[in-house]
Amino acid sequence: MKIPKTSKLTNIFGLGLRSPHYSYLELQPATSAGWFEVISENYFQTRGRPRQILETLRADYPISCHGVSLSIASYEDFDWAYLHDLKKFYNEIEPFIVSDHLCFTGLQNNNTHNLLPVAYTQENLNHLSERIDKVQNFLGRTLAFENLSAYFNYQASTMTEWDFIAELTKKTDCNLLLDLNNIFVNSYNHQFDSDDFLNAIPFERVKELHLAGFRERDGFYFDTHSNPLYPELVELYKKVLKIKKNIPTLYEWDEDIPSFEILENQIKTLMNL
Amino acid sequence: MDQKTFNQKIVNLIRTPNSVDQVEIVSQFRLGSKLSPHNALGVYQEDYQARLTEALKNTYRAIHFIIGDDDFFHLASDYIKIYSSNFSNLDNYGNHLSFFLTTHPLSDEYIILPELANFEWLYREVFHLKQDEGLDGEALKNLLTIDQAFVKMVNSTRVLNYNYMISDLFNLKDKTHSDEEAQLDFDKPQHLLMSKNGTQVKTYILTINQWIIIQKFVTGCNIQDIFNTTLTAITPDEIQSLFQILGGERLLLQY
Repeated sequence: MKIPKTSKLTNIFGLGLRSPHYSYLELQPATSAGWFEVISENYFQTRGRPRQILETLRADYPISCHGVSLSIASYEDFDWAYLHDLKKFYNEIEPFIVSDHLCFTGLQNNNTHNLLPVAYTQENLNHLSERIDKVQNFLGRTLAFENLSAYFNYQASTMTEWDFIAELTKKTDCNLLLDLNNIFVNSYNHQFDSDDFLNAIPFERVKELHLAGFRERDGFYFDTHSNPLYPELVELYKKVLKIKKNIPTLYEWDEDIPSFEILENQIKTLMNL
Repeated sequence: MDQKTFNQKIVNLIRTPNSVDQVEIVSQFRLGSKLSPHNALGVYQEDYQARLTEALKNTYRAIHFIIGDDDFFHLASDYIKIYSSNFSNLDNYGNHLSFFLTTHPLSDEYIILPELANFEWLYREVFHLKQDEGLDGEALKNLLTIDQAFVKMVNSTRVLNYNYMISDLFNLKDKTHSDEEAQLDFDKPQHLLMSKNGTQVKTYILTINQWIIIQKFVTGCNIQDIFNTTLTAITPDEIQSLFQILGGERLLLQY
């Protein structure tokens, strides 16, 4: 089936398509969003309301397809049924960016629905490189991989996260989705300087940014996507703007989701930086 | 420990916490973070429970409404212990809840739970289906004049039969009057037709005679057989209102 589509990116700031906003977006209002991001897996089976709204939006906005279940860092075989669904979905939607996370999410028949980090070692670098090549060849697309919020590091790691990511981009032709909130949360919880992270990243490979609000609990930061942007995040974003401008940037809000208008106001704030 | 072994152990530990494996896994964590290794693992264990519980809550909103937060949390926790998620989309989690509830102690207290869970899962299923368009009222009327006209229900429908008034129980979550639950006499059988209506799901309450007729349409039949073979007790009003639904919502296809 042919879906009407636009490839015109009216501005670099995008918003996630989330169910509390369906009723509003069904009215096809003019919005401040330049594009929308969808969670790919949520659309594989549905032919109901979520899919209809996505197809309606696709006529007016470019779409980014973001995944949460690729489990690229798994040591089990790929879930090929999943990959076939993903490829079909990409072909139908024709997204301008496709992405997932640098993590594993579980075992076959036991998806934790969590994004788990791997040790930053040469062995894992080789393993991930092979898997990325394999999946990109199958999908016929270059994926952007997102850095995680990780609540532990491995003793076995022989390199930093940022060096691992930089090395990965040398060994493969994958792109990066840089989540600034994750960098900030990790830098606080694991006590490193976020500048070290930014300085190591090959920005020519960064095709998308994520910004979100975190939550503090018992002296730790948690990547909850549940608050407005903190000033520290805005500062980090300004640093990125000095390195590279015009990177498509998603403003994420996934818990206690507010009205669409509040999200648009956050975008307008970012536009004025 | 190699990464493959670590992956297997931590995933099992997230799902089923146990102190022996926990010591082994956290010994792999680097010290120096603000979170202690045990707290760090706890983040993933809590998150796993929370995400799966939330997925169940989103699908089983009426059950959550009727049994309340505490009992729902315990039910979800019991279910999560038995069933892991093998879905890439978390929203698909919870497909066995109706079966699970048939032997769960909560169903001794709330006997309607297995049937209500069945209804809520099917509601979710129909919600995600594409709406099929069958014959309109006029086309149906014309078919009634033909000798051999075979019809069946469109795919985006479910015909249901319950021992309790499940549709009314399902709707309680959307009512504003807190005393309606107490007033509802739910201990009566209910025959239902569930169908797509635009992007929403609509439920019709049927009489037993209407339900018997509709069952024939599910498998497909000659429309004339409805009148020739069944139900001397069915009234003209029952037939008329049934065909109003079938024609108005375009729920029958000719094949």
